[in-house]
Amino acid sequence: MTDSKGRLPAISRRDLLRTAGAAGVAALVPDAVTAATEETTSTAAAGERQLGTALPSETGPLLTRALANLTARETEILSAMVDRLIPSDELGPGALDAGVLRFIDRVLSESGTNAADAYRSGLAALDTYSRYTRGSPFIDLSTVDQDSVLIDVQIGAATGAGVGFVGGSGSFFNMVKSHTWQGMFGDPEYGGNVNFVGWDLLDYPGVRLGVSPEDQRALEADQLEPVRRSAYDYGIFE
Amino acid sequence: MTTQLRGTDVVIVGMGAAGGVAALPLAEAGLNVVGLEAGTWLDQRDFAPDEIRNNYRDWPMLVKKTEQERPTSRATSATRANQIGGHPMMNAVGGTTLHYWAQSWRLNPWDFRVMTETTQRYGASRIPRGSTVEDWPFGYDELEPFYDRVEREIGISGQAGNVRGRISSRGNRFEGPRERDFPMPPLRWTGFHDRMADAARSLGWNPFPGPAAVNSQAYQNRPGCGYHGFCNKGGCPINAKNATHITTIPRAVDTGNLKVVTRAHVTTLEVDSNGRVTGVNYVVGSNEYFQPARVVLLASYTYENVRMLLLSNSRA
Repeated sequence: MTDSKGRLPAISRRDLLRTAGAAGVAALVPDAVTAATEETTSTAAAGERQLGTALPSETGPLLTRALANLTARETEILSAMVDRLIPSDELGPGALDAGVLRFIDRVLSESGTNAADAYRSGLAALDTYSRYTRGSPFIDLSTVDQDSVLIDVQIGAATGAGVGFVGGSGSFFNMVKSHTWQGMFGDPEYGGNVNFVGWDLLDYPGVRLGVSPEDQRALEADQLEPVRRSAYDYGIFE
Repeated sequence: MTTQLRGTDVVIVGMGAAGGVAALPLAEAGLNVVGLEAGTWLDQRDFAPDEIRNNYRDWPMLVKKTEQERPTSRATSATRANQIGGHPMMNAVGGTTLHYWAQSWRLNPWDFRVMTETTQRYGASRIPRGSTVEDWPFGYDELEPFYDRVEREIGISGQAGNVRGRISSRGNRFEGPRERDFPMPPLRWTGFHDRMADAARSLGWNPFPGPAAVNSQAYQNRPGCGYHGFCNKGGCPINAKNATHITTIPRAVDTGNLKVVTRAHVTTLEVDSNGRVTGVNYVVGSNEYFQPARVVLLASYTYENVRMLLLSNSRA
């Protein structure tokens, strides 16, 4: 599925859902998390939002495909979190559509165990805090409650015996937020910003090696045609 | 086991903004110069306009030092020292000039006489007690020919405001007199600049384009700026930003008198029993070298220079 540079081709939501049925995603759920499957099945509605991770099989219950560096359960919580940070809405596709989960998974592959540990402990703490203070796992909360939990996490107020945020909840929030922003708005080379949805959301004119005086005038008149190509599609950076 | 190298006239520690410029007149004067640089040569291919790489992943620094040994600062001796954020320093041939903003100001005449001028204008009581501020041992006029030369060697775009006393309000009318115009006209303005300048003029101010070490037109066989907008924290993919790795250092190498050694980490200065520096010890990977030199030029920025001096013992 990758091209010569290891990049995944851009996939539409519909294509992805179609492929999912044939892929036998249940096989991708590690044994260690099958205990969580019952909770997982109750989140069909959430799964609908989780493009690229929560894939409905044709026959069975909805299962969540684990990322390479996180369990299915952790992936599901992370998915719900980034979906609140940049949701799909009337402004356009959100973080999940942009491939932010894939972006984060690659970050974890490249940055070693410390980052993965920070995600694992943070996601577990997020879920624990949701249960303690809102009575349900994070993924089962309404979006309003998810947002209020995330505000607590962001401002460092998600504390309490046994919650387990390492170094304060704010640092976990900022880490996920930063990676979500990077995956949404960064160069698609890194697996995010699929179909340039992040740049479209910002009306970003795109990466160019040269901006002529004419380009500059068109930009200032809001008439510059955006460029939609990765920096690495310019020959000199191969 | 330390390898004793052949002696040289000058060894420069750090081939960045200072060492990279100093190398050229030394090499042109016929001195044998060795430039030791902890980083490596980078080129256009390393300068992709990519904010994830440039702004978040701290760029193509082949040496992790910049990230791991960031300097700390504290406001007073009573407060805790914290790591300084901001613009990262760089290990590479060219140093921080690879990704600097290229703003290239001269000091004002006043700056050279800061004690005298401050005292005359505001009174001696305005100099804080215990301050180390001093007048420079020379003035702007003595430095002007060297400013002029550097601006041509590096390539600076700008609008003069004072050429031999002739004042122009299109440039900085408060600058010290310069012998001649900048070697290149100023960089192109955008609508943002125009609006800011209009607003400033309406207040009776005197806006002007700041001097930048960026080509506004072809210069020294390199193109004018493409205005792609990734200068901050990124190198220039078309070599229009005048970092020392494409300006003074290659020209010094071309004289045949400069040898650049990359991945070279200087550990200590060697000092003899008379208290004279005789050379530097450095490592490349796990290999240790001693480079004897008549003159050692510390050009690794304030923090590294100070650290190097503190790490080095005099036998005197």
